[in-house]
Amino acid sequence: MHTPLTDKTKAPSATRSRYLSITGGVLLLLILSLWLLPVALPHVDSGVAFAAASGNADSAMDEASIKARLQPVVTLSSDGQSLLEKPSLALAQVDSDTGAQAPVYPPAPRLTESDYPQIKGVNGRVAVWLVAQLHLWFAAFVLAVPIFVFIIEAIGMRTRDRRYDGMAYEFIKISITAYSLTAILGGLLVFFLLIFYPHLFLYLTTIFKKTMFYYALLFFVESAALYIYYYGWHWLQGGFRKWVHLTLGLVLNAAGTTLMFMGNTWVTFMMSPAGVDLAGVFNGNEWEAVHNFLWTPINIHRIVANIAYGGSIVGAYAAFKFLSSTRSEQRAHYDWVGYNANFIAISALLPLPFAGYYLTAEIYAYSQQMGITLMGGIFAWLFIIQAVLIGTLFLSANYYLWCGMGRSDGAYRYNGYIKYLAVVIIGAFLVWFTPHTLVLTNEELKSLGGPYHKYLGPLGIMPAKNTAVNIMILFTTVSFLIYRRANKIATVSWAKAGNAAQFALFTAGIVNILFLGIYHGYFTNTVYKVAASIPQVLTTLTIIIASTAIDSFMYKGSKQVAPLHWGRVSDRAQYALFVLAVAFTWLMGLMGYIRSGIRQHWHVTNVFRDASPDAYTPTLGYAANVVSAGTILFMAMVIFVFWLTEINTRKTDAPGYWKDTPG
Amino acid sequence: MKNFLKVTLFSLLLISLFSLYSNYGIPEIQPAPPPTEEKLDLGSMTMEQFIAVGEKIVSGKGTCTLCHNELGRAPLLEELVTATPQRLQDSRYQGEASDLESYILESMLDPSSYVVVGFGKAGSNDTESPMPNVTGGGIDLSEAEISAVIAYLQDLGGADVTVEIPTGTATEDSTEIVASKAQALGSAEEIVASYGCGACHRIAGQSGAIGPDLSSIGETRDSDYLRRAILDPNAEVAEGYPPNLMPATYGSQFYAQELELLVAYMKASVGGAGGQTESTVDTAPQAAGASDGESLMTQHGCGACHKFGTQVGAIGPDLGDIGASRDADFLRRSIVDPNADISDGYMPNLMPPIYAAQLSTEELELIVKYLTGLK
Repeated sequence: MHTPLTDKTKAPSATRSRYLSITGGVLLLLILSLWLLPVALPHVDSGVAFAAASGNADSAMDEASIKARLQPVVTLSSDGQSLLEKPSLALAQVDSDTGAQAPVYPPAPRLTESDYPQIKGVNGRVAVWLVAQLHLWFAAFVLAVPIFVFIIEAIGMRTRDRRYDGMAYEFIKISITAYSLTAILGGLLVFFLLIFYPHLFLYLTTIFKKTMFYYALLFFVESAALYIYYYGWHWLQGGFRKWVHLTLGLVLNAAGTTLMFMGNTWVTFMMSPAGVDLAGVFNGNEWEAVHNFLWTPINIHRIVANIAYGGSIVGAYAAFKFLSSTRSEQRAHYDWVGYNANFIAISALLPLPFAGYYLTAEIYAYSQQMGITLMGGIFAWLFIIQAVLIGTLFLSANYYLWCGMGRSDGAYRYNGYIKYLAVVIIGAFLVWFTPHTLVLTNEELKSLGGPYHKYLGPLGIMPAKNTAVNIMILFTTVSFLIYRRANKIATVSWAKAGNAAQFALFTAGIVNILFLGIYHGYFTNTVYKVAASIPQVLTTLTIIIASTAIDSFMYKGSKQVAPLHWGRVSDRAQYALFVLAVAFTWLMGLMGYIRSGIRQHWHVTNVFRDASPDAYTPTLGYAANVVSAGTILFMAMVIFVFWLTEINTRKTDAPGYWKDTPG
Repeated sequence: MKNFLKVTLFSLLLISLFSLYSNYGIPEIQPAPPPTEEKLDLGSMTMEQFIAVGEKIVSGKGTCTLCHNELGRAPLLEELVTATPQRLQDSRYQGEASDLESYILESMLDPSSYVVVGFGKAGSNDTESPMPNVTGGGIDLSEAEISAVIAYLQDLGGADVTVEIPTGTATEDSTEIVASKAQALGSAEEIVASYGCGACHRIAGQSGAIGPDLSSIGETRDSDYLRRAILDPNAEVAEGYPPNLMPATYGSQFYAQELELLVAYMKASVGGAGGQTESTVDTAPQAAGASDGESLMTQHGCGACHKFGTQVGAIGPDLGDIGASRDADFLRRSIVDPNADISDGYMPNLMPPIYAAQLSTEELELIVKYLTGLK
């Protein structure tokens, strides 16, 4: 029976208009809030603020009175050096002739040990280190998940496959619990910085006051977007509502990415300061301080790394759910989710070395000393540890793919290739892991004739390692392409030519990469040794893009030789996903230490010296132990997050407990 | 629960493996601790000892060996002495050095003056050196340390050591040279000019505005207070001024006679007239009516920082022969906008940008004319 239209059921076009106007209004408000807040909010003048607080505008505006109230609690001692080395809290200098006020920023203070508050039994440096790293881990997770959830939701909308929508919802559910932990850790970090490094924090807030102010406010936007995105998931379904929901995901990602970029300015400023002179006096241009040398490389590296990392964490979640599954449909579902998570992690892992290389190149360009200390000095051995971790990641990701081949009976055609892929990837890993300089006793040095191994030493230099990582990436791509083909037969007429083209592409690319590595590595001057890296990277990226494109065209309309049996995969494969998550977490901790530690005994490189009792750069083992402790803490907190997601679905019948239920 | 335990144990095992490898699988490199100050008595040092200090700086604080080593990142220091004559003759040489000592000094302060082929920054065609100025930032070598490094490098290459050991005390990590004097200065004006009091205070014809005005200090403070304020500036800080601003080193710099001269001068400073009838104290420097650049510069306190004429300031560049290397435009710009061009080895924001407002056009031109004549 036809249901007449009532006030509650409006015509579709009217409905669309209403949602359009509401959505448009919300979006406009959000965008305006992001861009107009700097203009709309009153410029907070310290004189005005204090005037309001004191209730006596005249006395509050007296400069001496302001200065007296702003005197530091802890006196900054100094050695009686030049004027510029003295801290001054003058907020403004009044020109005696004109009466004009010009902002005067203090130089970076010269501190002594007594300027760093201590709590008995607490190592302030380790406390800040751990909290900062925990915050970074969680922040990386909660920023990454919306990125691929957005993409997965879009794929679901495109294919109308409900499974993608369900998976996206499941991922965002994990993320929302982690969000509050991220915020708690962020607050804890601020507290610890205030407690243990008050002068550093004061110095940074003097320069970045505007950025920090809007950073804090932007969390309202991100929170609103996230909560509506999550809680409104089942409400905003179908048709135009789904587009509204997807747009909310976009707003969430925009806010989150902006927050990350803003946070990145402070850490990169500490590494490569800009907008300040050698004495640390700020020139007033906050954009210059924000847009410092390493800001863009870190932004790029962190976006890509976050996606890879987020994929690995949700992969671990799926792996655990797979192992805990009691029904075959559940097993199949989480096998599929785990595969997608691994796919996300690998897709972002492939370009990640290039982003990292770009960051290191920019570090070298900023300061050759910093670059050499990083790669050729005391931090060089950390990169051997990194090589072990990345090798673990690649091997684990490939192992998962190879195990996954068993899902299809058609994969037997390609099983024979796997051992060759394994040999090449392990070989490349071993090259990457080989050090250049050996630490030897005098007797060993004498018998070896130097600090380098006669045959393996040449594999320790950068061109060899660049070659190795490019080969690992290429062969991981081959693993992935083989996996995709496992259950299909191409039906296009040019399939043979397509295969030949791909074979030629890979062969030419590998030869090119090897040639570039060998030529630049062993037949040119030291300063040109890394010149091979860019053409090698371009070769690898070209092959990945071209071969994937050829493959996707070649297998359009392909015939399924055997169906994919989701759930038909060994438990060992799930442990490969755990390896991914743990190794990624540990690696991020290690890299975070390197990024921060490369400043050595500077709070702000070459500008603001660290005079704390813990200003020394620790041994590599000590740093690794702190990273391990942090990883364990993080894993415990993540398990807590997963458990919360789990208990949310449980229901307990309590007969007789409620007065309206029978006993 | 079984799965949870298995996964937890597996993860802990993996983390332990990474940790064990980091502790026992690779060398436990122990990075050098942050630099600490080591006081040295340069006055009693032999040249061999001074050269040894230079060597210590090259492999330590100077971080020279980070790049200047067998790995080919920078030219070898052992070749410096033999290569210098050729480099000075090279058409690509952009500097002003004329001998080995000045070339080594220039290489440290302005490394891009000459870039050895193959060691320039990528893309610069060997015109830009990746080496930083050693007086800045993280390296931060003092004059005494630079002299020690020059001595070491000259000795390393088998050349005669031509630098002199700085006299007086210095610290290895210090950024300040404390020069020793042969005898006490004889007047308060000389003391004020020599020690740069006028850079911060209005005193003895100089018009510093960072510290309290001392032109009438005798009206409100007694001799004990004034003596204490010089020897221990933080004992009583004038209201409205932050502590730790005035250097606390004058106690070790002044002769006793100089201290008493200065205290007496300040005690006699009443009514803004200064302590001695000979000195011309002007609250408005523009009204001095000086007819030549040197007098104008003296009145405006330039001698607090610069050396020229009879003034012996040592904080800023020596202007004794500035006319030989700088033209009028540069000199004019340096006065009205001191941060436009900072001389190598000197820090920005040190010279007050106040003279554009204090000097008339005529006075500015008189000063520029005077300076261009200093050759």
